Amino acid sequence: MIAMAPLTILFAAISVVSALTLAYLVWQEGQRVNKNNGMAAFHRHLDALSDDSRAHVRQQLHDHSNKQGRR
Amino acid sequence: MARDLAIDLGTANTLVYMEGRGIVINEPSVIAVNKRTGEVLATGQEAWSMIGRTPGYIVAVRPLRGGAITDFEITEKMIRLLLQRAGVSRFSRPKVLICVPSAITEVERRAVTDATRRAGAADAQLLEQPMAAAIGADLPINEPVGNMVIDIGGGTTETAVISLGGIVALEAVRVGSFDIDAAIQSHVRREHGLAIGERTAEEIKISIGSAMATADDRDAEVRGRDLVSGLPKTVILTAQEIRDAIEDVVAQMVASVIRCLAVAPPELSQDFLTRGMFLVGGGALLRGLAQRIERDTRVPVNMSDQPLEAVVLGAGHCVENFSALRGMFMDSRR
Repeated sequence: MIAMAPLTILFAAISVVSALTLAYLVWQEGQRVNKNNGMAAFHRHLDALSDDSRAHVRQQLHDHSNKQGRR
Repeated sequence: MARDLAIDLGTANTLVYMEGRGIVINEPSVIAVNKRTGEVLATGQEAWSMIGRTPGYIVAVRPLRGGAITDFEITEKMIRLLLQRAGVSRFSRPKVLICVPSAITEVERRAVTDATRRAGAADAQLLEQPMAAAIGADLPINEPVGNMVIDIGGGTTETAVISLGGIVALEAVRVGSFDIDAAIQSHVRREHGLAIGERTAEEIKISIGSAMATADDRDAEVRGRDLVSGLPKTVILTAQEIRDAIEDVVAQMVASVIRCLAVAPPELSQDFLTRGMFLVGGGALLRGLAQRIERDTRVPVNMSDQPLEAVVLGAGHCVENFSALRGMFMDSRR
């Protein structure tokens, strides 16, 4: 009985860790699905292509034009 | 931490954009290799100046033709060198976004991503060149309006209609400005019995090549090797004869634009008439090409501010917003 106790504890610990890992993976997958979910992802995509978001592209185009103008 | 990179791996030029820094490399896609040892001797501008002028044991080549890898090993070496120059090491491995022609096959796609991963990238993603060009040309592609972009590169001509952040219609042909150079080379050989190299053909295209008659049409003196006597010889070429020589290639480019217009949804076609089409890529710099497309399609054509850099700037924007724009990458859509 006494000899079994450490084994029982070990198996219990393994079960708890496995259950927690599984729960974490399921939660992560859920988050990933939510993140890529239809409308939200589409709007994030459009926002990333908006005028405001592309201000740095415009700035670089402007810088290149100026550089070439000086040459 | 490694800064992510965007690479416009073009048939003619290679440009590299580094996250947070902008364009860090812009040079010809040429590599010079010692055939005996396999050692790389030069890349970019230095290797370009060696084309057609190397001793037997050195080969200066463009490893891409028609936007596709023709020599896998050399391309891998070239990408490895580009990544090294951009600061990539064993301990800092960036994500790399590579712009490729939209007409690329599955095998070619694998070749590019494999070459990039083997060259040291942590992750390699692909993006169609017209999409990147539209972002880099600062077109309002997030809006529900038709944006038409024509990207004429060294080996491909791609026309795309983009609306609401995605490609609506696409037409690509493996014809580009290198085919114009080849047409000039073949014309000079056939009509004047003169052998010229690809660099000379490119210089002729830049100095007197045009797609339509222009006010500043002029002649050019060209030196080469007489095919009969083998001696150096000089001939005079006119702008009109060069125009005739490249007509077939230009006609194929214009035909692909017309095909794309034909498959575009009618709602978006209305937008082209008011907003026009946008021309990007090195081939767009051919004199009279915009006017020629405008004449044949009856749709206004606008030149992009930076036709050579538009693709890499667009890809650079995607690198800066990697997670939000991941859905646009070719791998993620399969």
